[in-house]
Amino acid sequence: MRMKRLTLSLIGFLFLIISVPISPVQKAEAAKFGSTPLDDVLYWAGQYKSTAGLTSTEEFAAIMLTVTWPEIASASNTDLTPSPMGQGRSDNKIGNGYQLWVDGKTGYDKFIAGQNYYRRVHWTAGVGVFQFDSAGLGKGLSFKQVVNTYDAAKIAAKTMADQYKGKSGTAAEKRAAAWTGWYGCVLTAATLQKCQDIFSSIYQNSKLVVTKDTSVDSMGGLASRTCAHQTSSYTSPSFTCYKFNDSVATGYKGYWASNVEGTPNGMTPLPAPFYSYTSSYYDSSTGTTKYREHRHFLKSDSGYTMSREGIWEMNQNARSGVTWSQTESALIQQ
Amino acid sequence: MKNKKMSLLYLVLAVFILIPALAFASPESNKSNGKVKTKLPKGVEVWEQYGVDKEFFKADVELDAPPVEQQSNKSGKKYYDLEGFSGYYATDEVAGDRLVIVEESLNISQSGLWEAKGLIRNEYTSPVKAGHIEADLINKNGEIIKKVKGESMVELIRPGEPVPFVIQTDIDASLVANVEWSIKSTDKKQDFNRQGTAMVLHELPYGEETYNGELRSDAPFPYKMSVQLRNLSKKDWNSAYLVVAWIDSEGKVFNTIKVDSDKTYHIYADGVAMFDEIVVDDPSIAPYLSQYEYMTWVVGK
Repeated sequence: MRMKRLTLSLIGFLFLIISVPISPVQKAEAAKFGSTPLDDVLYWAGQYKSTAGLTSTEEFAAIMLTVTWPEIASASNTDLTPSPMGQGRSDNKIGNGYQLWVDGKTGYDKFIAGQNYYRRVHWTAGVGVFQFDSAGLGKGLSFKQVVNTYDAAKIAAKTMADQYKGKSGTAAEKRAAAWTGWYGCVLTAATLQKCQDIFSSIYQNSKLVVTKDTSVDSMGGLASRTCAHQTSSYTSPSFTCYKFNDSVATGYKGYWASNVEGTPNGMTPLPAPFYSYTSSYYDSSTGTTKYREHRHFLKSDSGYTMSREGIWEMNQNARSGVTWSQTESALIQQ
Repeated sequence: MKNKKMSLLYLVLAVFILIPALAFASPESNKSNGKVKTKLPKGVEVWEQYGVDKEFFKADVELDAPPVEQQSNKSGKKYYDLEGFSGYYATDEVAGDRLVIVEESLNISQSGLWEAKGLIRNEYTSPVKAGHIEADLINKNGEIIKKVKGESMVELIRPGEPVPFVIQTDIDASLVANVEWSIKSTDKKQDFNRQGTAMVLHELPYGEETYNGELRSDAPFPYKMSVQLRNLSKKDWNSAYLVVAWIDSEGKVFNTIKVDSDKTYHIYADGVAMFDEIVVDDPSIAPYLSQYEYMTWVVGK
């Protein structure tokens, strides 16, 4: 009798286990995120949680982290570590302008025609674990700021905290509001549900359940260099600039670093290595500071016949706000 | 002797009070090319748009002067990010005594029913509540065939600021040979606050099944724009509205839309909220919106 009761209990227990629905993102492997990037997210979550009206740093960090997998790794595999240098490669519509392609329409037309015209001299608008994009959140943010998770997490935290605070509703509705700027979460009901599932999987019993990937740091491979800004009449003092090179990027690169030449109407080209820095000036007519981001593609890195420079007016959508020039000496590399 | 002392006193008063006062007033009253210099609304810095500290946005190189090539669109117009306004056609040199039509922005229908879309600009040196636009439609014989009127879509128009208007009629456009405009400022006696800024978060093109690689679920895929509001003022707002005007490649107003703030948000001081999503499915308009530049206006209450 006791054995029969025990057997029945075991069968019942097994039935219970089998019948519990398992979310697609709740895999055996724990979610992974870069080691210092996770520290960065936790730091800024702690700084801004009270703005959101939350008391738990880990809960707010989970809200922040949720968007990163759908944006640059995988919505269904959170054990893939989002790459801080991750480049958006799906930006193949030219509705807002051709300027992501070198020389604008010239570069775009040659790309569509399958010609190799400085093809990898390409401006990627969506960058980093939060995929900040100049078309929306990301306007005014430099390449280094959107890559470096210490900087990027600060903007993500403030943005999400303000949204979370302003929105009325349930915790789930407030989380959805926090993710408003990230279409990977809010484009459809299905993407939103995926993000709610990711959140549930990485925030359990009031604890953040994310494993640190020690191979990924805050810069994700972005290297500091020394540069000087040079015009026909002026050479600036030297300063720190940053070099992008996909070959040294860390984190999951399965999608964004593949098919580097891109395909017409498919993936956009992956940028060749380039140097990036920002300049600013005071605009007296509006009484505000205006910013520009410079990306230099040196011929020694790209292998093309000439070096090229793109300059983005940072208060505009890069799709229409980048201008291209041929440069040989605008940047001194030290 | 007493009179002499009084004269001296008046002289001292003139030197120390009147002359400085005139000098202080001179930036407003100096005229060049028949225009009066005025002060535009405060510009919005990038750190204000995100609500973070200024130091975060320190550039690697700080230039003493603007680069030779100023930022501008194809036609050379300057782009402004001001409190409550982002776009073109603002000016700090105004007529001083009127509201004007911004001729370059006028888009008058050439066929079908007569319709005018465009911008008016406040060229007074102080804010006005709104603009009341009247147009006399005149035929080829010089006769007025219809008097039509409209209101500016934005309230509390600051000096130098352009705002959109639309006038629709039941008159055949082919009958109209000329238009005579008159614009007056109106007082609606309501409290408005323009210390806000709009940030477009997403713009989904018309007819596109995917958006940056993600499948959409809103077939037949209208044009969509979602816009975030940041209240830059020191007070919570009860509500707000957003006006968007798209301008075509010639700088003419192509389309305008006005939406309210999302009522599920509380608009805190230095906080954010969303506006109701803009959805356009008219196939004669929607396909162009993602290709044209837009201007935005924010009005809070």
